[in-house]
Amino acid sequence: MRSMRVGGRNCLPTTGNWASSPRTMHLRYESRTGSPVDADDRRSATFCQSAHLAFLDAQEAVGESDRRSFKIGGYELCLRFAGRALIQPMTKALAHLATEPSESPDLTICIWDSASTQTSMTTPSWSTDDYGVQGLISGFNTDRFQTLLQLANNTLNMLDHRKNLGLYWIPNARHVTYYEAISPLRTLLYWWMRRHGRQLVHAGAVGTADGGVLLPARGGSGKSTTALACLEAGLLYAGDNNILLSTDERPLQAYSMHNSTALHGIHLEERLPHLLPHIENPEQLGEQKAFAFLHKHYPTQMAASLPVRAVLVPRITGHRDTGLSESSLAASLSALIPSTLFSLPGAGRETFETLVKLIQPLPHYMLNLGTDLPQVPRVISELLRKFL
Amino acid sequence: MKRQSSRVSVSGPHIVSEIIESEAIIIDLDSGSYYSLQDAGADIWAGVQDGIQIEEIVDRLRMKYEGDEAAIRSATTALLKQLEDEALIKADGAAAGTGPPSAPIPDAEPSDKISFSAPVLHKYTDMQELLLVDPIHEVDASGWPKLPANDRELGE
Repeated sequence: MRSMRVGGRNCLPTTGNWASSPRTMHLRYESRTGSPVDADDRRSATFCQSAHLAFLDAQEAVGESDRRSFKIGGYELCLRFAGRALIQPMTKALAHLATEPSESPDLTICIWDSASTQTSMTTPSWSTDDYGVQGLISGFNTDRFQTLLQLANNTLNMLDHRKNLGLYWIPNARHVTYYEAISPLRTLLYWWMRRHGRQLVHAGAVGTADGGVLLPARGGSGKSTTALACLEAGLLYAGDNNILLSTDERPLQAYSMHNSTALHGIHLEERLPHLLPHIENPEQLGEQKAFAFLHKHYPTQMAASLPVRAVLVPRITGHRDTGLSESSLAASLSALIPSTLFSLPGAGRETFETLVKLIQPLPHYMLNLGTDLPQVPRVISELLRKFL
Repeated sequence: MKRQSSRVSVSGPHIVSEIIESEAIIIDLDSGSYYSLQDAGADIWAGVQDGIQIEEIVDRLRMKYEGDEAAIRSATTALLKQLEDEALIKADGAAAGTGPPSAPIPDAEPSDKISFSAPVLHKYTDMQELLLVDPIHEVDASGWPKLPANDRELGE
């Protein structure tokens, strides 16, 4: 079981007979005796059980386990690790939301890799034909389970909604992409949060404790630049790429997920040179965006949540000055919906309708971004004062 | 398809849309393409959603917009052809008069009518790459897909 070569890519042996494991009985998923059991649910439960056992085996193999707790969207998230290889990549971007663990977290995610723990993963119960769009696995996405394999690096994301249990496995921790490091667990959190009154959106959010603005925009529209300029000016920052919007609270709340930012290196040098010393990957800017973990440098300005007062769609004008112009719900939705919908595995009509409903009551503006960046936070602050 | 006497409908549940403030936002969840239509274009899309006959869509437009009837009909037909080419709609082929009755739209006073402009379908494809399916040709001994040889590492 643990005879694989460390770092080997294609050498994982098939798993043993999990039914013989002493943990099998302990972890057996309850069956709905007396009622029809959906075949997909049953197959998913069996695989989830086996994968969970693989995690427990990995914990046992390395002889150490760690857990970290975070408060995200008002819920307690517990991350359980087998070994240490994935702790840093999976927690740096969440560090601003760290909290003391309780006995009953709302969601637990088990995180491990096979290479560093020198353990094997259970054999997939599906065929190559079952991999669909965005890696969603046909037959393993039911009302209870959601399952996806990120095909770029074979990262498994599986969520059991009934048990509030997520599994995150990657063959080799060294293959975590920089995108995952700056937005860890995005898919699992999206799946779980949307059933708990939180909708993940592709947007930024900045402001004050009294109110903030939501910044939806396609890539390259100035969303991160706006958020970072506001951060530098002393405003609170909930995020510049992934935000959770409350679907059950008024006023609308924007909850922070990640404290990370990523920008093209050239933009950073030209517009936000003060961030250059904070870049985590200066040697790889030719092939990656420059990224930084902002809580280390602006610890008092990381906001766990902000009440949203308005939607501002940034657009780069090339002029010197920054200003606001009244806009429409349609313009805000055009900026928010496509990049949100297509970046969330499994999102569809329901998400579309949720997004419309969430931002419909808010005032909408275009944020006409000028090159004199200190003006940007001033314009936003002035707008927010009107809502006090 | 018989444009003048038939009706068209949204081609399936993978097409989601919303009409907001005279603008239709239309998303093809399968292809990753998304579209916008404004003013008369949004009205035509509303007609498609309502399942009314094409001739009724034209009638609705004539009640709301000031313009040559032939030009309105021609622009409507042209847009529907575009929508069909984009696989956003499909011809239902129902004969005239067999569909559900549409809500009557009061004819606007001539002075209230808006000048008709031929609708333009704006198409955006910048999200398509998010839906690309990585081909899987082989799996390893454990059954997991073989990874490309040139994958990168985050590093320590």
